Amino acid sequence: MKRFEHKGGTAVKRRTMVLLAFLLIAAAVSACGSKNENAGPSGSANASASGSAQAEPPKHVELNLMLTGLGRFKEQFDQYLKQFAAKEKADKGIDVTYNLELPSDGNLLKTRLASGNAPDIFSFHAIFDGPTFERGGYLPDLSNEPFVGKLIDTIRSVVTINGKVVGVPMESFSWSYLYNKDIFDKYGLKVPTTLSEMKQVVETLKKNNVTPFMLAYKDESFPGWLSQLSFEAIAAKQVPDWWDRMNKGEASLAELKDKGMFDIIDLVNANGTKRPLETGTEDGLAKFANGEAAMLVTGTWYADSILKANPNFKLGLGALPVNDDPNSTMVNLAVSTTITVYPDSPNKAVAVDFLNYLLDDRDSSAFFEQLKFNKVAKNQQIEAFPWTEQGNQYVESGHSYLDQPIPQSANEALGKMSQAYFAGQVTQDEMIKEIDKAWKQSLQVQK
Amino acid sequence: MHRTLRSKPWLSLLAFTAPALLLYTVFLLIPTIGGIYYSFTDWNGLFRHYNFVGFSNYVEAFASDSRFIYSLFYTLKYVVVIVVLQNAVGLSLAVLVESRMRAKSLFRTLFFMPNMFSVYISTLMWSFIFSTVLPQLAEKTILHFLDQPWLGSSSMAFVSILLVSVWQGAGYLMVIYIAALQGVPRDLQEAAIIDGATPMRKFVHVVLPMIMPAITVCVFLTLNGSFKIFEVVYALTGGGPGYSTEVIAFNIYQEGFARDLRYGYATAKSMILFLIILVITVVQVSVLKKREVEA
Repeated sequence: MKRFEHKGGTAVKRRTMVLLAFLLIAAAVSACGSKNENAGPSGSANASASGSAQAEPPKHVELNLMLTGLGRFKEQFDQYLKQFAAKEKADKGIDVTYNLELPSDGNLLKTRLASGNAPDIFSFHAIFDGPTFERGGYLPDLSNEPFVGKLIDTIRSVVTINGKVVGVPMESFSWSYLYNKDIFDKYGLKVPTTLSEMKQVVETLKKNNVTPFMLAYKDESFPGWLSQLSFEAIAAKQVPDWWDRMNKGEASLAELKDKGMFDIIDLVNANGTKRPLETGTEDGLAKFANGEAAMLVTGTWYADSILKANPNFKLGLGALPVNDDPNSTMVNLAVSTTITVYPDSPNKAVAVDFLNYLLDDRDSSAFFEQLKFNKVAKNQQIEAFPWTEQGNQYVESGHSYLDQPIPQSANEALGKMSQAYFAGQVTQDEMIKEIDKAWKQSLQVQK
Repeated sequence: MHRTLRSKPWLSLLAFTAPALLLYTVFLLIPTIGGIYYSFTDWNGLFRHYNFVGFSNYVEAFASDSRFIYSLFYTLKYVVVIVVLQNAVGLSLAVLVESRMRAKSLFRTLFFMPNMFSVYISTLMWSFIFSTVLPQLAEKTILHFLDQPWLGSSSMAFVSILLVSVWQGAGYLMVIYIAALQGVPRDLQEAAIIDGATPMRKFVHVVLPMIMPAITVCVFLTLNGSFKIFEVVYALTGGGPGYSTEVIAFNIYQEGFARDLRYGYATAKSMILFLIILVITVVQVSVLKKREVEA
């Protein structure tokens, strides 16, 4: 009896062990194997792309588009794609159908790019994602396309990475701070051009019991933008080679601090609304729209939300002064959403046609107006909003500088440390040290 | 013939558990093993090519990531306080509810309701309370002690996070403790009263040992869950002000999805978290199991 039980027990144990071992090996192989699999799909895409270039142009093409975060423009893009399909049929006899995806999470695109199953056309953020995507080889060289010549020069340089144009800029902003025109008119205030004038504006507002600045510091982007506007303006006018040296790891924010970076930061922080660390973005925008403060340091991308909260709000755009030199009072010129084509797409020809159609001489202006985007090309006639007009005036008078990419970690550190500086948790030197450290770490990781 | 008789029960066991085992393997086991593999690389979730870097991710987490070390100790601080607090509150609520003659189920439902809401949504609600309701109350009534920088200073933010976590979790523990309390034999309690025990002594020396299995389970659940706290911090403070309320899960999330997109490094840190939780909970369960008493 004893011998029989012992025999059966070992057999069951052995079988279980074998099964477990097999499962583990299978899992390990699948994890390791995935690295080599990636070469497969992109290889086949390459073959079909080169094959189709040599063979006859396809009669029927299905375009896959993935435009992250643009879900609110579904109808406009649907309509524009239909117009494009009609044009392609008329000009080249190609039937174009499309599959438009509008996810709200950026990770979906990253997964598709990494797994080799990339969409033909996708959108990305020129400043945040541009450098990373370029390093991964996911951006094409569109420098010789017809649309490039139509772009406004400053905007073209924002979408140029390593000397090549990588996409069609869609959303562009000149931004610094927003102000309530009604409040300014009521007290006869003019948009300040120097730091001293700004101090006077603050004094007048305080005398009349109006809070000068709306501070919504719960989201660390807001204090980060204030610091960013300040140091970028100083670097642009006074230390022009700072960006190059910083991206080589040879500079420090301390240089900009010595040139007065914290003057405007301290002024804003000292004259703001109560309990800013508990005021979130939505809250802050709604309160600003309802007149609880005169100025808000943020970008014009919130114009829509502010006007939704108060349709009668008169929104103005001002450039943040950083010192008493009026030439240093500038707006930041930035491009965010950029649309481009996947370099190894099998439908690259038709996709590039669509990119060119985005800046079409006839239809592009109407499209951009529907999206409420600002003009990016010289051939566009778009009715600009009043604050966009103010932004354009600053740009045309030479009071602007280009937004430069800040490494992601350093950007986060900028926001978080500005928050901590406001809360009194760190000194100016500690804040600068942290941001410098995060910047250097990012550079290390990118090597 | 005897061998097939023996193997049949094993096969039928496998047949019953196969669906659950399959789902577990595919959605938990294989990703975990995949994660272990990626933790030895420097993948950023986007590029096609990555390098195998061995243990350098693990070394870096301990040697040069001061924020990770900070969030480790901050989370530990939070875990210690929350385990004690949540269990104490859960147990007191259970004792109170059990001691009532009428309306027991009404109070049980009331105290359990916070647990039924989604964590994220109820935290957003609390965020509104902290930023708007409490300051207004402090201004307009005599409750001036409510005028605190609830989310504005790191020390008060810790208190706010504790408050929201206890509010959410105590109800769940209360239900477990009620079940355990109902399992304590009446005759033992009456014998203790007859022998002259005060209610306090009766609780400590008769009731508590009898509900030890429930205490083991509840402490295990609280330990396990509180190490992984994320939604409360994400919705309430966003890790702020600055980095002062960044707990481990939030630190890992930022590392993998926000900062430099270092998936490999973030996976290594989550493996470290996994090992820490594993060690602590295994120790805790074995220690408390020894103190359990059979009726």
